[in-house]
Amino acid sequence: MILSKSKIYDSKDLNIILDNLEAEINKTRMTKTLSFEQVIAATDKLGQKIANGAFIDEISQLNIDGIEKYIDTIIMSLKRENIEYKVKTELGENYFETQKTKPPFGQKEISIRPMPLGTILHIAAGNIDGLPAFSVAEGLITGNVNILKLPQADNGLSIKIIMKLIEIEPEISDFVYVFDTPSSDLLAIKRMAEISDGIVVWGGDVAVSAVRQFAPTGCKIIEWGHKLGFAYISGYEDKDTELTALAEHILSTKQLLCSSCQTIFIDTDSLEELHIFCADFLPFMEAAALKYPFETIDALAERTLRRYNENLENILAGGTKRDDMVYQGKHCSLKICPDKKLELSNMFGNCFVKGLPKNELFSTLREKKGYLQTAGLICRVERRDELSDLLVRSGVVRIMRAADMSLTFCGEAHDGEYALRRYTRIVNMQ
Amino acid sequence: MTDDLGILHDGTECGCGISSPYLEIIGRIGLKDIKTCAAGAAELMKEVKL
Repeated sequence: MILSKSKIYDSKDLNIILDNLEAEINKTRMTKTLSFEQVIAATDKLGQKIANGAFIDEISQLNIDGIEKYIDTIIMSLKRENIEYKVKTELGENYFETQKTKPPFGQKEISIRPMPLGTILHIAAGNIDGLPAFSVAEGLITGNVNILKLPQADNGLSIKIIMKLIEIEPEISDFVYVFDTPSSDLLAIKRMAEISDGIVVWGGDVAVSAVRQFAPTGCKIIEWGHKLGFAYISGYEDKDTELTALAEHILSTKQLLCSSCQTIFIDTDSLEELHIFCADFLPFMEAAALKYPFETIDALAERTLRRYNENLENILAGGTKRDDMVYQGKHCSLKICPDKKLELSNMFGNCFVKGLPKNELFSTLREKKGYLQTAGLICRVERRDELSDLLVRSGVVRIMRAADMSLTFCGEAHDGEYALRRYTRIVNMQ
Repeated sequence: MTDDLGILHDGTECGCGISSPYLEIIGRIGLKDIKTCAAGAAELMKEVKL
């Protein structure tokens, strides 16, 4: 399915549409401007329609835990006030208005006219439902022409949302093209890239490096890659509350999010302290596992088999030593690892525990510099400033309390950047 | 080792009168529908071949 100028075409018409795409987009860009007000009014109305039950069938079919909360978050984030706040935070007031510089020493003044980046190709991942539509919305808010390559796993929701937006504000139709072209059709994707000023790529390392290889020189690449989250514990303010919060975070997100805790680092180099921590923390994990049970048996079954397989391999390798390091609880586990690396856990309530003294924190995190996102910091009150500062310097971009590691909030940066600013360019005019 | 998922039921659950337990085969387990943005998770899930 292809969406071009508000009409739906069959996927086999791909080449005909691509043949005319550049000319169509050029015409739009030469003659039309999509105002922030038009887009914000349309997204606000879209939110009201979702609140009134639009897409309820499609959304309720999604395999999402806590679907009501998910819908509420979508409706909230589409509200005019929230988008206006996001724009104000990321771009400042009246960003697209032409302004004059006032340099010191009587140097010449020049006009500054911020503009949309131009044409943006969005290569969206299927890892979050509705993400492709969100990516396009960011491109529209900044006035760009958007070409969206849907992920293969897309369930059709994104295109329906975009069509609803066009129905609300027909002017948007010239600014959005959607293709269901598979990633394997590299030739078609290259053609889309060749007419784009920027490529927004969502996804794992494989997707990001593929785009880096085929992107034309000079085309801006905006990467939203996958990240890793962790907890760092150096004492407590209120031990029971903080351990409950961390366990509930781990089990409620199932460690599937970029911001989810994969590894718990303890500020120590004593193995004994790690054992004491695991023995203490396991009951909190078990209680959280009861509170946030798995919706499907698949993940549980797969993890059980994997663990069993690891045990067998361990026995074959002649050792039982590794097992001493695993604290197995009901539907969760903690595994003490001898290394200090930040790495992906076995997810689904199975967390790594590692010793990492404060003086090795910085260098350890630097080894994962491209993947750093959220740190859940648990520490004594008097140490919070010092440890936060160290984490900030290391490259971490979100420092949260354990309970809030995956919390989203209005006006937050995306992986350390303001996305909207990257979707624009600055023109200087004499 | 297989990665098929089965449930071992108590014989009385069936109602046929035979009391021995029986196995219901659900099918292949998989994480293909799991959505994640944790780095490396997609690759890890693809690896699942026991």
